[in-house]
Amino acid sequence: MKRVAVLGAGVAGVAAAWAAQRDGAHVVVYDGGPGASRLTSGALDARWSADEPPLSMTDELRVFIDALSGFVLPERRCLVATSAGLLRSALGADASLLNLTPLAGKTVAVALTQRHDLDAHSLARGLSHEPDAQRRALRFIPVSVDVLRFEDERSLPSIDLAARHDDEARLRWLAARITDVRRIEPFDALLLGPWLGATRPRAPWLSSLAGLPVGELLSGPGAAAGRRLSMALSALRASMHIETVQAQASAQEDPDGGWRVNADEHAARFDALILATGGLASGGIVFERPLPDDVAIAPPRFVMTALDDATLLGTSPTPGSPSPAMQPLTWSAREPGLLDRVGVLHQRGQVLDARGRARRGLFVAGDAALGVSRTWLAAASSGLEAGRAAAR
Amino acid sequence: MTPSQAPPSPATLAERRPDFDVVIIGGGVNGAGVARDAALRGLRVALIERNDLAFGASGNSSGMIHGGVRYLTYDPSVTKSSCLDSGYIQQIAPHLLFRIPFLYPVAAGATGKAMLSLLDGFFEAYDAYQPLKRGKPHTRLSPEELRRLEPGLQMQVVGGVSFDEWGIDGSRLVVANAMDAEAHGARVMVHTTVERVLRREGTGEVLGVETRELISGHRERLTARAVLNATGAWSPLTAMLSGLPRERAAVRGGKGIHIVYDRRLTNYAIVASTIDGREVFLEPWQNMTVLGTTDDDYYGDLDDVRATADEVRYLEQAITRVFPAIRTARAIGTYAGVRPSLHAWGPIEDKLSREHEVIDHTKHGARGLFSLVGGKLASYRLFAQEATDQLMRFLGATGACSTHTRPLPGGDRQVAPFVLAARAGIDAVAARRLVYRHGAVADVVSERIAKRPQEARVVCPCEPVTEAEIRHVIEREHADTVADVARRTRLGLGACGGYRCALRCGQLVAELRDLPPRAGLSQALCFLEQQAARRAVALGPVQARQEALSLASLRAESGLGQREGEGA
Repeated sequence: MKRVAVLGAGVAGVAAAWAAQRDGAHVVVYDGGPGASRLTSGALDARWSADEPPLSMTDELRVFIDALSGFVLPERRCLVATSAGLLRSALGADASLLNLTPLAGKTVAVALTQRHDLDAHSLARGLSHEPDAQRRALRFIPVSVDVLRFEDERSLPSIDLAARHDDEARLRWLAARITDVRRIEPFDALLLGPWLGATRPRAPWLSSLAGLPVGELLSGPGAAAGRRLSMALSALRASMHIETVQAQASAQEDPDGGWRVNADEHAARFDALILATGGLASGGIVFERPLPDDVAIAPPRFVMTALDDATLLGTSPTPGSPSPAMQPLTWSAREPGLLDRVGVLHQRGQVLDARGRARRGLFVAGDAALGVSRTWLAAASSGLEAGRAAAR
Repeated sequence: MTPSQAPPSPATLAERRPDFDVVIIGGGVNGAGVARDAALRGLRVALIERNDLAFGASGNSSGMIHGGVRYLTYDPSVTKSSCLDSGYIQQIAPHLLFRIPFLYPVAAGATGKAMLSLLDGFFEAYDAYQPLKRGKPHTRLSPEELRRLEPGLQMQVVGGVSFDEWGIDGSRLVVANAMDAEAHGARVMVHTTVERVLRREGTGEVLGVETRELISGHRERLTARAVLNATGAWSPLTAMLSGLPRERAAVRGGKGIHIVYDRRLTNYAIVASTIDGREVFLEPWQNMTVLGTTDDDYYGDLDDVRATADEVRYLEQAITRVFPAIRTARAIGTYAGVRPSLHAWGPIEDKLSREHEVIDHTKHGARGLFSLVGGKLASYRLFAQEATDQLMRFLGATGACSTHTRPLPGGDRQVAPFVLAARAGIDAVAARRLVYRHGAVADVVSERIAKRPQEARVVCPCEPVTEAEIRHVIEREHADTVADVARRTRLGLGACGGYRCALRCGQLVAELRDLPPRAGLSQALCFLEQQAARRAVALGPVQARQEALSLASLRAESGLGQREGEGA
């Protein structure tokens, strides 16, 4: 049986482990702590920019999303409301987010509560103005729905309030409150803050209890959706009985072939190694700045932790071309910049060396891979590709 | 007046009573200072700013009301007037000032001992001016004493001296002046450009200005008896709008950049010298640290002045020799401005005079037109007083200056942050920062919260800034964009680079200015991208990581980059 090590336990790492194990490999995942997957907002997007290759929604990717559970991938694109008062679309979404696509012509209540993290008046106004809302005759109104049961919940961090809704009795209580309010002020759906479940999405069950669609706004980092994804990833790993080592790991090529992985004094040998350590945000790639003493000569560079010098790392998609100067190292929210282009050079998940030749048994996925898009789905897709290649 | 109406001819304009006694072009510290002084003396004033209040040098200075110790050897009059005025500013805006004690270490070496004695004598001379600004006298320090005060100092020293200066938020100072002018009847117009200064044919006398609002495109004609060009580095360009050659209001623009670090790295400001022998300093400033500054002739676009990576390295190189920990410090941004120094051909930048001058363009055939050139933040009030005196003489009006005794808005009484924190239900740090920026006006913000408790929400956690303060500056301080809010509150200028607050701030601006929500989003993105470009030149390992993180979360939240039509 082929032995495969996966460095990194985010979306890309788990997808790679899942695919490699399904193809018959023995897989060990090294989990070095949370990374960019924790930043997910709950939306499933194909790509960030039009010049990236389109993502193909393969059957395998669908099966993987299904296996993760807690996400919906409807035939028509989802439309979700964001905490900044905008509407945005996505291929799919965390099941606790309120999908507005089927709600054309309906009135959506925005919960007016005692909490400060959701300004219902401002949101209702902003969302009603959105072109997508007007096109669909979607109406948003602030409605006083007291989702808070205890005094401390007014200032409780949203993730803790989300955790309280993991309790079934609490959801029943909330459903009853919603029904009460609707007797006085009718509405067709209810939009809440990111409060519906910390371990898995609770909105579907709440909706069936209350008899109308109830769901969350899409919120920024730190919201419950990121936490729910982390939980789903560990649950999937556990259900597949994939061996996991909770430690930072480093890997070296073994002179006798294969790869040696060291983590907390434990060393093990593998036939293949998959780097899913994340990009700059997760610490998988480190930016080094020149020291001011020798500023005149040293260009800034990017280095990858846990890798030896033989692997080409760089900011440029062409092997051998020099690193760019510091000046243009800026990003744009709209177009991919150089920060997006940092990573390990590869071809379909197989790592290449400085001359563009494949390096035996070394694969890369997710943000650690050079020049791929960084959406959640794209990371999963590249993980599946690398996992399959490593198991071959 | 609607733009479709035919503007009256200059001849008819002259018959009527002019709309204003004086139109001031330029919402920097000098323009706002004159606007306040003139309004307090009963003149009818309009203040017109093309970008935002404090957009140029005033909001991008080292943030000090310093006594001008740099000028002591070759321009002691600047030192004296700076110290005197620093004292006045402390009286009228006590909330805006904070003490910055400086350490000046002297490197060991052949000339070290002599240098230290020289410095000791120099600061002894400066001590004579310190009482004017409630400053403490200097102290000569042994190497051990220096290291005890600042353990991060790593160079071989023979000793050093300490001296005393005051820090200030330049943008807040400008806003306070403009708001006080407005409270006394002045009309304040921001994001409004002057397209032309109107002059009577034949005599050349000034009749008023033609303006255009940059956001709405609305055009207007304002008639005035006098027009004051207070546009700093833009002065030559403004002179040209009046039909004068640019040399009539010449300045020698000197670009200065600063690097901002994420926290207070030291308790003392530290002076270091650069490779070309200039003095620069690292100063604890508000809740961060600022490293500055450069002084280089500037020829580029004044509306988009940016620090370059080379300038950043030049400053870091200098400070590394004294304070090596700067290498691992986290730079969270840079800012740059252009000083409007008096024009001179020949001297190197550092030797240029920081004196100021009011030019009466009567001698150039433009009666009623004045230009302010030169000056520095610390002596703005005096400069404004001199300019207003001259305006009063020109207009035949009487009235004495009172800007040195009448408090600026918020400077009239003290507000206790802990009391405010308890009353408004916000945390003590947020309350302290609010009181710093607004003084007694913080009570107005706190009353908003009492009426609408959800405004207590902290929108920018780095600074921190509450929603109530954001609404306050949009409604009461002419903030029209996310960047304007940032200038007034420091929202988004902290460690996270604004990614946690810019979208919400854009939403609030759009709501209060009645813009579509998408306009708020694009303002927020515009702000974030500008800030990112300013950070990029000082990018270090930690900040690079933060950049990638910001970008990932921003895209995840907003879904940016999806193709048009994918949303349909």
